Amino acid sequence: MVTVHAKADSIAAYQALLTSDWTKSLTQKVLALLWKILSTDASAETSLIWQLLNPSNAKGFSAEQFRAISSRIQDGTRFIRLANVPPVDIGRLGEKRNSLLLIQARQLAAYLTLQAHTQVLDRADFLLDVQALGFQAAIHFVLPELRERNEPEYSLLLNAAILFAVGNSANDFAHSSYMLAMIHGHLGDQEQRLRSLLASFRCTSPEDHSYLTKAQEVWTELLEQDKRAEAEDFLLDLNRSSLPSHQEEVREMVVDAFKFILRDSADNN
Amino acid sequence: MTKLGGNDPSHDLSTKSKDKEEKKLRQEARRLLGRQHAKERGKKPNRANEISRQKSKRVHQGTD
Repeated sequence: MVTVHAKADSIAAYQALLTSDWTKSLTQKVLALLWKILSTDASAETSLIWQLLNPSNAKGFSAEQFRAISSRIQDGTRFIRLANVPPVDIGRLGEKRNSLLLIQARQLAAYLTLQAHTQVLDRADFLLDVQALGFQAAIHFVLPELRERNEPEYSLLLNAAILFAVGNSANDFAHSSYMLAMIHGHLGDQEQRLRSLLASFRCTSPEDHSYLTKAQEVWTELLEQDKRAEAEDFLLDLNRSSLPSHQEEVREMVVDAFKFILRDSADNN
Repeated sequence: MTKLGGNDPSHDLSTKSKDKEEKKLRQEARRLLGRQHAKERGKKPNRANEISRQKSKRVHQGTD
């Protein structure tokens, strides 16, 4: 059992992470914040999950102990079938010495699936907010490096990220689809990425503040995939369906799209 | 205290502040449009979306 606290300094730290540019240091900052907002009672301080979450214990954590958490993540992902996702190779976890990258990967995997390992009390919503930043750190910084080094922790963290994204579908399908699009992008599955971006956009009302962001993600992805005609049709539809307050920015989008097409055509000639 | 978005409604940014921040990130992402900037460009809308996540529900409920 863990209790979540949302004190003023933790909220300020969350705000700073959200409004600053994301660099490689995001991962360690998010892990520090996740640890800071949690507490447990004295009897649970020796529990497996608590030891794993604690940054000061992470270096001494044995692979054997970690396998219990990993097995639960592996069991969870058996229900979700995504192409190109390697299964968690529990036998190989922890086979290398504990580098910072591997420690970050194991801790992120545990934090992203925390609700499956223990009961979470009090400010669970705030935990979800900070976990979401952990998901971003995993996608942008930790997973690419793990994949490059062919680490077994790669599949563990990838599967934990998938569980986190799918776990959000019940209360926020648009955001869940958006996170899945990020995962498909990481996996190099451009077709599924586009489908997930479209699903996310279609489930978002024009009144939603993320509407134009999700719209831009769709048409820029279409252009990146050389689907110019579809991008143009999408932008024309967007111009018709968006709110009067969006019109000016939609026009900017149209201009930027055509600038890109012209530049891209010139580069290819 | 400045409020920011996400699942916890107690730290939500004002509608105006969020719109301004998200629009800035969208513009930056459009400036980076092109294959050579794909990795860096991807972070901008991801951050904009993270800022606005869940906020609209509060707008619809009339509590923002």
